Amino acid sequence: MKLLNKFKISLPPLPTAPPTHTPQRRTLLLLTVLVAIAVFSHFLLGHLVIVVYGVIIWALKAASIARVAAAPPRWMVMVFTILSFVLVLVLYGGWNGQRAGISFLVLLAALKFLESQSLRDYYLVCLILLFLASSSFLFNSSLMSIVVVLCYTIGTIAIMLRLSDPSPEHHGSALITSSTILVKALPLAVLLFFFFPRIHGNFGFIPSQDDLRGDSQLNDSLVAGDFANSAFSNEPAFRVEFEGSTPPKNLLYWRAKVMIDERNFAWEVRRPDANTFRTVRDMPPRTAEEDQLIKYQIVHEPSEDDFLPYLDYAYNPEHGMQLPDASVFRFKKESGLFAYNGEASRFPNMPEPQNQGRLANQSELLSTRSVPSARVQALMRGWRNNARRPSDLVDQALAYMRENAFEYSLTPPGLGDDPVDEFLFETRSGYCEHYASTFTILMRWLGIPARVVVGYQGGTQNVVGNYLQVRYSDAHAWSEVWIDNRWQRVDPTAVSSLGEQRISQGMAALLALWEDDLIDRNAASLTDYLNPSSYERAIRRLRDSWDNMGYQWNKWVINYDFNAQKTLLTNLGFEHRNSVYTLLGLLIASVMAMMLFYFWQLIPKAIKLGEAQQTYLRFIGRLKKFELLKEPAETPLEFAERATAQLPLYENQINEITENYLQLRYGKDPGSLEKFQALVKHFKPTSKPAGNNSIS
Amino acid sequence: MSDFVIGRRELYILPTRIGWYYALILIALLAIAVKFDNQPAFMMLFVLASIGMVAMLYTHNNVIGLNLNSKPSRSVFVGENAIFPINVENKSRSQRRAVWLVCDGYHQLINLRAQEQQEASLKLPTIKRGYLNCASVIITSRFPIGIFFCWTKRFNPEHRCLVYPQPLKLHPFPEQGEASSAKSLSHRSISNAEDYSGMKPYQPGDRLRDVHWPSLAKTQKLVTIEHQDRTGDSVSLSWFSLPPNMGVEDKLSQLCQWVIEADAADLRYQLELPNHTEQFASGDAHYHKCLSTLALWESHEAA
Repeated sequence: MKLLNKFKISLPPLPTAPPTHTPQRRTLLLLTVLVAIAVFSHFLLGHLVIVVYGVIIWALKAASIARVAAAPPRWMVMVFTILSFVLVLVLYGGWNGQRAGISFLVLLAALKFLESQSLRDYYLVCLILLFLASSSFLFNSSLMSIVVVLCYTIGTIAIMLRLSDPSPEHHGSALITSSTILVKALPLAVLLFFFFPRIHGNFGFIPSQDDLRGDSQLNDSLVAGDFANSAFSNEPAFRVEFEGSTPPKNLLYWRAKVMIDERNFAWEVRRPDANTFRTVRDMPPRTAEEDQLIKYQIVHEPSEDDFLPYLDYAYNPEHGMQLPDASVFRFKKESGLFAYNGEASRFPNMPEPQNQGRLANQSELLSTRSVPSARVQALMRGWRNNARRPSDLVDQALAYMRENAFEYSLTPPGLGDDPVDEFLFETRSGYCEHYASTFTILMRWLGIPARVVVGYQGGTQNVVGNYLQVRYSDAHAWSEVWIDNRWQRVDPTAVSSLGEQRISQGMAALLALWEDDLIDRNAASLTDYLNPSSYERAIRRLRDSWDNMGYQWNKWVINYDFNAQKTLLTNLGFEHRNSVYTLLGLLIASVMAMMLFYFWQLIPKAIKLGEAQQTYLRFIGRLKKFELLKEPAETPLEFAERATAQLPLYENQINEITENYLQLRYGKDPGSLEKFQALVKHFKPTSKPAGNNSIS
Repeated sequence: MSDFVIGRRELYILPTRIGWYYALILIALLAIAVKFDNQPAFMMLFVLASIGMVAMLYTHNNVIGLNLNSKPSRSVFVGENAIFPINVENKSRSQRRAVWLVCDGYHQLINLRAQEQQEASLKLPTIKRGYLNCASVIITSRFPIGIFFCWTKRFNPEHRCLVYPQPLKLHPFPEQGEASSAKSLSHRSISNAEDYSGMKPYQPGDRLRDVHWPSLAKTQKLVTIEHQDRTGDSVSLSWFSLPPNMGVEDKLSQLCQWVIEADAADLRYQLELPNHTEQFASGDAHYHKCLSTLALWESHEAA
């Protein structure tokens, strides 16, 4: 203390916290609504029992607020708390898990709300609600959800405003003020978002990730009939943005899985083993001319799939490991959306030879579980006789399908014991699995190594965002044959009637065709789809816009990870710096700049004196030398009276200036400012009696 | 009359307890966002953090630049609340909301529109006679969302309140010095109705029997009956007429009561104290002079 006095440092006064008060009933009713939204919307995620339990707790408090009754006794709150612990433990089998965590948070909010009595309790309820709203992103991070969460945040902040400001006349504007605060916070938030270093870490006390539910994905096995179901799943699988223009649809083969093992017209993916990985390690990197590559970026929806779709044939996949069969396998599964860049050769039908033209597992690629029937054998014998090269066999098989009017259909008749025979001679109708399976089996019987490839074909171009949207309904299967020491893609579906449209126009066109009736199809509706009316076009544009907003959101926000941040830094010109320090520097600099800006912007400023006031002050200044000082409480008229008493010679001038000033400032019909200024300008009182003073 | 302007050096700001909890929630949210690498959670974290920072500026700017000045306060009797009028002025273009004026346990909520000024009346209890200095005034606010609060340096209003002794009726009103007055007093006590001249709001010191009780039941206000003008009557209110075994404060209280009664009866009166006499006079000025003499009796403060 002595030391402080010595250096003349005075300690600031001890903090005085503002007095507290009882929250108003209307505020509490609004808070009740917010808690209700939190509790009721929990049924989307949590266990039904938890929701019902939460609603009971909420209803107790709501009733006590509505009837202005006292808070429930302490033992009751204790019982409820213990019961909610037990419920979460029993229903979720423990604490670990996001769902258990969020259920507990919801119950915590309801319980805290139930026992709330003082101002601080209600503040805490608001804080729990804010936390709850923010953590809901672990389950749903769509664009819609952030809008909802932001609105909820505004509501909660408005409640906090009303808790901080007990004057009831402001309560109507609480929502406006909280929106203003949010709007002012958003630029800061955006800066923080882009510059805050993304670190990886694991915190033991946070509940761990729940297993993803089996969302739609490509199956690891291909059984005829599977895709027919997925054809109606309009869920997006991934979105692609190409560097440059989008390649034509019939080249868009998104290769995901390669199937070698056939089992009675069904195919299965072989999962890579240690041996495969060793082979991969020894494989020389594949190179291609830079200008022959199609480059693109894929933003993939959350998926559990091990294999990633890449445009056929993929070069140097960024994400995952390319296996010898050119499919791409990933080890680490992302919990949400993920993005990766891809490169594909511009000439997908001519991939370079692999392994010096030698097939390691030729016998597997030729094995089948069935033998061709007599009819099929006769057919194949005919093809063999006409073929000089292996590629002739492929052409003949395709020609056979084309000439015999094979049909592409999502509702084909079922196949019996010998599916190849029945498909080739009887039904002649099916979808991609039938074609790919039949064709691959035929090729193997003919001695050509062949395999089935599953992935997606085509996609829908989003005209607004200029990207390609690939849905699960775009799933497709085709064949690859080993001819001339290289794998070649053959899509037997393309030769069937309507199958050709499937490839060139996309599945969406066919689905539009079948929209009304799956059996009856006419060519007119396909033309309608491809040449839409202006109304239809507007609707599609609207739908594209909405999808585009979601896509941009995903691309810039959901997917803004460590790598994206690095790219941003590079674009800003901080390429060779240590990124964490650069980021921290940028973060602090930008946030400080922003805060300073706000500080000056928001700091209350005194209203500047108007021109008239300044001129009047000049007039007062002129009178200073006569020791005429205007008291702050004096009105201009009173001052004029005093001044004229002392300077009777200038009575007229003083009176006129005062009158003009009052007219300018308070008069209904303000006079001219110039005249007033001129009057003051010519007012030059001297102590000597001025004989020449004229009254202007 | 100096204004107390709340400048940047007069203003302090800290998070409230709720503010620390808010920080805790932000940390938890950061842990979640990092653990699950969840970008929307990061986004919400930064939105909430920015809301906190903007709220801090709001809290600071809500109070900065306010002008305080005090106004003279009316004298009161011991036991009544001393009222210190404090003028709070907002010279800026933005409105100020939910500002608390705190003064020694008394607090008042103030809302100011742009360029508005308001008078807050600080009520402080009085427990002894003499000058009462207003306790220091502090402005504090937790606007807008209660996660920060700011408080100011102490403002000590320069005006003080003179507290008169508490009127106590321990002895009857002394006999008037002149014969005519004595007659008149006894006359008044007998026939009140005759010299009735009107009603006035109750003032401390009015005799209980003058209170018009039926009006209290009707209007909830204390009203006393005023009696006719009695100029000409005079009385000496003397310290020495009180029994010597009375305490000093009791004597002062009794004299105070007599001054009130004498003034109410519009008598000419003099106040006799040891070593000091207020000469015969009447009227407001004399009344207050006598009362302040009593209030400051044997104290070292100048009147």
